[in-house]
Amino acid sequence: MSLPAAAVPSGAAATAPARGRVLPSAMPYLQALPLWLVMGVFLLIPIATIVMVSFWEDQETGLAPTFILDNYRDVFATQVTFTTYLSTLRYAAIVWVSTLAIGFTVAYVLAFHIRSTLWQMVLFQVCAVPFLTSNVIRMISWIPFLGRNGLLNSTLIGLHITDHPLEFLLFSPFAVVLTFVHLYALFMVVPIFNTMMRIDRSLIEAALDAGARPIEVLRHVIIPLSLPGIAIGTIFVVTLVMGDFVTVQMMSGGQSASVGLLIKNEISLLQYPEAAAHAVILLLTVLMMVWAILRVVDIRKEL
Amino acid sequence: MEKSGPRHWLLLILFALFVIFLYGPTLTIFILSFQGPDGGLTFPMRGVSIYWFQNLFEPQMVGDFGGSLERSLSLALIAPSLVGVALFGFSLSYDEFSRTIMAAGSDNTLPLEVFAMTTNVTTPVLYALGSMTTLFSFAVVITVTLTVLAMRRKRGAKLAG
Repeated sequence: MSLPAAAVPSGAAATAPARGRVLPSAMPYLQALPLWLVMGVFLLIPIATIVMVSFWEDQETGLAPTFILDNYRDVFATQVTFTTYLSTLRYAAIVWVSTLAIGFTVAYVLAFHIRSTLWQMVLFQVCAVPFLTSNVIRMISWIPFLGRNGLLNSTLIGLHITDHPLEFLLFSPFAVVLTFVHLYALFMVVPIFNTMMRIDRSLIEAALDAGARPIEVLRHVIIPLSLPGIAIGTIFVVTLVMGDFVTVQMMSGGQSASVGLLIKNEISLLQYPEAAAHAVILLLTVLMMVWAILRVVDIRKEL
Repeated sequence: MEKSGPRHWLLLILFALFVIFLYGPTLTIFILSFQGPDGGLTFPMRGVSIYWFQNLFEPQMVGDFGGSLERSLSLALIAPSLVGVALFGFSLSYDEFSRTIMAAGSDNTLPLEVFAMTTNVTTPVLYALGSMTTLFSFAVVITVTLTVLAMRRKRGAKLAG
């Protein structure tokens, strides 16, 4: 109870018994209305606008509100789309595996190997603080570390591990993945930690009493019960990486592409309908990935 | 779970490595922000000074983080259990970059300023700004934590008395 709540919304507050003078049957709808208004104005209408613009025609004089499929045809006609998606999906996959390994380990240590609740809270905050600073600053802080004359290269040369600076460290796919992991590891730690803290400790004791080795407890008790947290963390990380353009642009030194960057470039060129078509396809891709994750793991069970 | 033995220590070491991984780069720029006036963006340090921090406050820096800070603090005060959510909200608005770059007009927010600086500033003033914002975040987290602890203690005292 003394632990900070993670980013998992609880539905419990919304089901208070209906009281007051309003018709009792109308009460639930009234209570849900603010959420619907917020969702409608800030989510549904903007997305509907994007879908609408993706069918518009880009003319010399401006945008024509028509209904054409050319934008989508252009998206699928070029090889660039596929290579860009491939590169983005590859980033997502590598970053997902890395953050999952790191996030699970860190959450496991926090949940099961730190004795006092106070220390759990303190160490959790220690992990959370960098997450509160600007992403751009966390990105650029890798530059003096990884650069040609950076800290890492100087150290490696000083230790005679290498005699010339390693070039692949900065402005490379390696730097992009490293920065992603650095930026998003916490999105994995928090939900996994949250589900782990809810695991009934007597289940673990029972497993140990029944003669299970720690590794078996991990495999048959902790991992299955942490799956909802893993799924939520996966959704966070995958959607963030799929939509990113800043990290890819900055850390690859412009040498790597991502779908987000593609869309951003089109917007810079004022090609709104093309950008909208790309955005719709990216949205559908990510929604399908989320749907697939939710098919595998029932996160509703935990909420 | 066993709380001693080699496995326990190995896991604690892994945790420590994660913390180093999280803070290492930030620490680098923290050190570099104290470069002397002739210092550059990378090591070696050319003297130690607070020149770049002074430099930082000379031009007008515009940020929009004051409002979001206030909001997340009051949220945390209303319900201590919402701290996690409040921190999420604070962090997201504090660091709203991708959306602001598209939507903002002439009003600059802090992340935009930083991003602009990465392309056209070649002095450690960039790191000074980074260090300042990191320290600011630290201050927020510590304040919120202490507030929550104090509230809990008060509540505990009330229940006991």
